[in-house]
Amino acid sequence: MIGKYALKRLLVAIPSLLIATVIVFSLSRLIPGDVVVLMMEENQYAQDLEEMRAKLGLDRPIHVQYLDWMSRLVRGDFGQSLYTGRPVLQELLRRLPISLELGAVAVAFAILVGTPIGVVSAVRQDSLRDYGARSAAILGLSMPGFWLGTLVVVLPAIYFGWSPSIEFTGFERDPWRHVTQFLVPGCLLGIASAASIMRLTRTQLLEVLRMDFVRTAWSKGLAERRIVLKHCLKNALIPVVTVLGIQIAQILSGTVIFESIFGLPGMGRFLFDAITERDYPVIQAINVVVVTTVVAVNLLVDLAYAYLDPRIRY
Amino acid sequence: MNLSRRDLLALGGMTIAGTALTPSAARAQGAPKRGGEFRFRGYTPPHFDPHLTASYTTMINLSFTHSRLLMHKTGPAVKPGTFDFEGDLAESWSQPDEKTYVFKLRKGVRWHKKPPVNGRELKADDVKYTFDRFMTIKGNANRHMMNALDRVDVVDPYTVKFTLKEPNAWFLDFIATPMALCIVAKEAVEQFADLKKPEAVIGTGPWMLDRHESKVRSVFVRNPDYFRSGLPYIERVEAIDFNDPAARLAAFVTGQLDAGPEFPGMMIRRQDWKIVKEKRPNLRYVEFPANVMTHVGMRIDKKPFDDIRVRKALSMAVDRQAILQATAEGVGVMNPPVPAAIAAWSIPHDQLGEGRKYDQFHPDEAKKLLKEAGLGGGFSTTLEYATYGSQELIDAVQMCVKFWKDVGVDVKVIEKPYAAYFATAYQGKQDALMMGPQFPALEAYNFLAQYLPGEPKNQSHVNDPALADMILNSSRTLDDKKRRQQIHDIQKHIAKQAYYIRLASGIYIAALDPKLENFGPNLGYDYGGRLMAAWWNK
Repeated sequence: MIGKYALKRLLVAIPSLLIATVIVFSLSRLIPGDVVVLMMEENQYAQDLEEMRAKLGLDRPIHVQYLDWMSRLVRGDFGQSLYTGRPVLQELLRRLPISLELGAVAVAFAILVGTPIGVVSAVRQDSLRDYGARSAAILGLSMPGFWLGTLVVVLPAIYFGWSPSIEFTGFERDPWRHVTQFLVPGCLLGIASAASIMRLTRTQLLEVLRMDFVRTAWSKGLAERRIVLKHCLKNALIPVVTVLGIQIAQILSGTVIFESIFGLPGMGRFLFDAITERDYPVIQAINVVVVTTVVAVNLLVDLAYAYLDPRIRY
Repeated sequence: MNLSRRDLLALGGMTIAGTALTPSAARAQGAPKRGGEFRFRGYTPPHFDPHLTASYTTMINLSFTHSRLLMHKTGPAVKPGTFDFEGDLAESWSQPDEKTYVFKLRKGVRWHKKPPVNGRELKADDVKYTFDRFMTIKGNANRHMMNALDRVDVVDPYTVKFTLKEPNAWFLDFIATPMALCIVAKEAVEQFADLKKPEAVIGTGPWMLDRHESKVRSVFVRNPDYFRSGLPYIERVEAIDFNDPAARLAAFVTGQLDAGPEFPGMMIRRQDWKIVKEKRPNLRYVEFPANVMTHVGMRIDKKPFDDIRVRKALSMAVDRQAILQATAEGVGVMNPPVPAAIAAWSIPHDQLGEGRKYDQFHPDEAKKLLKEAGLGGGFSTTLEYATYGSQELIDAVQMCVKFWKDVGVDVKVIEKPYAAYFATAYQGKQDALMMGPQFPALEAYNFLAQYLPGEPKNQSHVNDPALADMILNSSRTLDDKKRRQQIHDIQKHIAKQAYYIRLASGIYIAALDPKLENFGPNLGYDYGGRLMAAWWNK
């Protein structure tokens, strides 16, 4: 059953991806003015305009360009970076794991911090702990990431002469340092998501806690821990999982800031640099990867519903 | 000499160009020691081909790996802002006549032991190949530096002769500049098609590029076969690419970097100075005027800027001291047309003559001039600029707009992305006004070229035949004393015409780890050249 549903969702995802590729492909062509002239004047990526147009494949009809780009894309050929001259895929493969590691720490932090605090806040509604948790969540949502990141880097340096590692260390060089360098930026990146998850978990759990089956459980004399964790939490988590899917997309876009501040050469920073350098093949490739990831995550979220609520039928 | 910031202000910043203000530069103490690592804020270049970009990011990297015929003297005894020559690959040089230079090359100079060059000896053919490529390759933004060059001839394997089309007094300055003319290997170009790839970074310099991770770091290791015996002392140089200014500051404050992280020349920002001094009180530092000069270019080929009264009015409406106060804590130097930092050629500001008053704040006089020009009711115009990621520049632009508004001129600011600005306004393709920092050259010619018709950097579209003659004539004058006088006269002439509105330059603070010996900071991109004879006293 779930296999059939997954297949259906996959089929639905294909047109989404196709539309996304059309948008991504069209974006550079919608920029006012002749983008090739602009790129040539700014960066001299080729010897002359004609070579530049040929390099970008702009000397052919637009539908041919799109089909050619797509055919290369599905074969894993993302083209070459205009800035470095290296294959984009090679750069992506080097940088994607860094962003994924950072995103994984952020997601783990968001879940591990947001969910338990949300549970405690709901179970101890209107207590000091609840007020404290809600205030902290508002604070977490309000603080811009770039500001928080800067403070965390600069303030300890000024007051304690220490700062988190801001120089990237590859896994092959020092595995321990490689992993730990993601902790601070990852946690910072996950704060806003943790706050959202905490608030949603609290709201959903409060709703479930007032349901008849919970009252029945209380009247049967079940322990609080069992009622909350076994009977209520799973029911409360379905909207949380939906939000988590959206949060992952936000976390992916948030990596740009934290990768810049903490010197992590991930995909976010790659995108930032590519935009600065008008490196269109790279911009297109990263957008395709991001769109594909978001679509894949949402597919996984849909599938997770079935696990959390067996009543859901497809 | 100890001068407070207020003292600097009192001096009006006019006479201190090139003066090291704090006698704490890295003096050489004890015997040199080999070893250790030097970590500084590095830059990821677009690529490594010095003939296909003018980017400082490329040139700074190549300053570690490549050599030039001549270089500027380095070391703690060198006063920042001075650029005396010494031989690099050239053992000696002579000028048999006004249009000929002959360079005798050192013997036994070997290329880095990397394929395809594999440590062969550098000879005169390599020099000829480099200059021929420099002159003929398409897309070389620095080609103008060698406009005077007619041909390069190999006299014998260790002698190379340069023949110019006409005498050019700046020729040796260009040969020595760390901003364009390092010698490259033919085999590397042939093997890799160009020199863009890190694998093609094969020079004869003191360090070899060991690893380049784009946007992360470049690692240079000591060249054991470097032609200066015993040098360099430092074994490994790590250039770490930090994107974020706050992260750079934190890294420097916590000792993760050995030199100030800001461009150019291992500086720190003045607003960070207090924190840095508190946290690393033993730092060695040197203050000297910046050769980065920000100015406002005006389309003087268009109305109303073709009227000298309007240009003078706009210039006198600007309170440069207030801008300096707001952007650099009041510490800076007033700039004649050749920035004060280029001490050898810049005329002291108080000797600018009549033109000096147009650099001073006289809003009432400005209003009067506008009235005389028939613009008593004011006028509207536009100003194009890029932020360069600098809050100081944004503040300066906003303050100028306010000052002009005060005299009735309404300026609409058009902010452009850097690259778009560089392609347009920086090359004089703005509608009316442009504003921004200028190329930080180490000689006077590049600043004066801004007044020559047809030059891309002539952002004001100056077309003054008398001035052009004066500039070209000075370029043909080989006697330094005479040329200095000519350039002083040129600057007086320019100031009178108010072709650009020049702002004051800040005072750089170069900061270094106290254990680094025998290092003298200076302007320019020659990071490698300056580090070559330094060592760690740890």
